[in-house]
Amino acid sequence: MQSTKMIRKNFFSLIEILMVLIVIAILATLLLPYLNEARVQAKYTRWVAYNRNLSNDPSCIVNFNFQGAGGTFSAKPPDDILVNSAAGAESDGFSPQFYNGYLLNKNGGAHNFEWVRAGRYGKFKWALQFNGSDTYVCVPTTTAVDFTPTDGFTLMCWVKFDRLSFGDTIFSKSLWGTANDAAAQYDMYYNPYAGSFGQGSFDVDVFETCGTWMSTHVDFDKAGWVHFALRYKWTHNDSEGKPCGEITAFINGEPLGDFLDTTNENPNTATATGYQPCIDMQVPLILGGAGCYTKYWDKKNWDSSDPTSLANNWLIKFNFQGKMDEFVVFKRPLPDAEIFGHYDMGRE
Amino acid sequence: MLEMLKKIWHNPRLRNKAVLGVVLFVLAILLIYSLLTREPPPPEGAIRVVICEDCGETYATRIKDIDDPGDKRNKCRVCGGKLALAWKCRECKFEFPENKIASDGKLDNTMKKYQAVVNANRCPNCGSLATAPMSKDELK
Repeated sequence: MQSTKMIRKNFFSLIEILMVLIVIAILATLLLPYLNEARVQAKYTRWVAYNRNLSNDPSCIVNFNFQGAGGTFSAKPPDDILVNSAAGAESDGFSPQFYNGYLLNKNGGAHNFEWVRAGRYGKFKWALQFNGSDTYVCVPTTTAVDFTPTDGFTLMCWVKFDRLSFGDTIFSKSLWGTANDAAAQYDMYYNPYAGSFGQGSFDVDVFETCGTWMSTHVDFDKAGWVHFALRYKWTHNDSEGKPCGEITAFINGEPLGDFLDTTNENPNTATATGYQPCIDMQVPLILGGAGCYTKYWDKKNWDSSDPTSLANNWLIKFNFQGKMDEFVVFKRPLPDAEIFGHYDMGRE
Repeated sequence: MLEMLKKIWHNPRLRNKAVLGVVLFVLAILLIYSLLTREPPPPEGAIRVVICEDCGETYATRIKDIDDPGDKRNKCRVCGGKLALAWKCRECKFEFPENKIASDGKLDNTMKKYQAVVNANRCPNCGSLATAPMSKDELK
C-alpha cells in the first residue's frame, strides 16, 4: 500500500499535464507570429541590400523598388511616382530621375492606384495595386530604354495576379494595331489561348518576333508572387545583314525553353511587325498596360491629319489587375544565373 | 482577504493551483490583447465597376477574381445575381458585361487567336472596337 502511494506521488496528474500543454499552446500562439515576422523582416532586409546593390550595376537603367525615396525603405513611397534608384553609370548623360515612373489614369484626372503594405514581405514591403481598368505607369523618357535588334537587354519584375485574364499586360513598349500594322520593341502579356485556361501561358513581342509558350511549359503558383524576366541577346547578322537574336522568358528564375514563333508560323497575322515606328514616335515604356494605335482601336478619336503625333496615335488597353512590387531594366542580357539570383534573393 | 491569501500560500497544493491560475489568466489576457491588436491584412483585389447579368445594376466594388464562385463579393448586392466586369463603348456609351470567350485551348492557331483578340470586346450594340473596362470615375 505504501509503495503504491509512493509511485503515485511521483507522477503528474492528467490535469497538470493538460495545464502545461495549455500554457505551452498559449505561449506558442503568442510568440509564433512574432518569430515568423522576424524571419520575414530578415528576408526583407536581405532584399533591400541586394536591391541597392542592383542600382549600382553600371548597366542597370531602371530600378523601381516600390519603396520610399532616398533610401528610407520603410517610408511610404510617393503617392504619384515610382522613383528610379538606378545609377545607370554606363549611359552617357544619364539622369535616373528622367526614368521615374508616373502613376497615371488612362481616362485623365487623378490616378486610381492603391499603395498597399502587402508586397512580398507582407507589411514590410509596399506594393502597387493595379485596378485592371484605368491604371498604368508611364516612363516618359525613352532614350535609355530604346533598344535595337543589335542590343541586349533584360527586364525583370515581381507581380501577383488578382485574376488571369486575356491580355493582362505586365509591361510594354509597343503600339498594338492590326495584323499588318503594329509596332513593338518589347512587351509581355498573359495569353490563355495557347493552352487550357488556368494553367497560364505568356506571349512576348520583341522587335519583329511574336513568341508564345504552350501552357505545358508554363506553370506557376497563381495565388502567389511570380517573378518574370524577359531577355534579348543579339547573336549574329544573317546573310542579308539582318540582326538575329535570342529571346528567352523566365518564370520564377527558370527559362521557359523554346517558344512557338507565331510570326514565322503565320506571317500574315503577326502582331509585332517592327520596332522602327516605336523609336520614331518615342513610344514610352508602360507598366500594367499595352500601348495601342488609336487609329485601329478608337477610330472616332483619331485625327488622320496628324498621323505622326504620339498623343494622337497612342492609347492604353489591356490593363493588368494585380500587384507589382519591383521592376528593373538592364541594358545587357543577364546570364541565367543572375536572373535566377534575382528571383532567389527576392522571393518570399 | 489577506488571511485567505496567507492560507493559500502556506498550503502547497493550493499555492501551486493559485500560481497556475494567475499564469493562465495573464497569458489569456495577453493572447486576447494580441489577437485584438493584430493589424489585419489589407483587403485583396481592386475597386472595379461591375454589372449584374440578371438585373443590370452597375456599381463599384472591390473585386479580386470575378470568376471565383467561392468569393461572396461576386454576387449582386441588389438581387444576388451573377456579376461581370462592366465595359463601356466609347462611341455609343453602351454599357455591357465583359465577354467571356471560350478559352478551351482550341485557339492555338494564330489567326483564330488574333480574331479573338480583336473581337473579344467589340461593342454588342454598335460593333465598335473602342471599348474598355469601366472606371469608377465613369459611374454617374
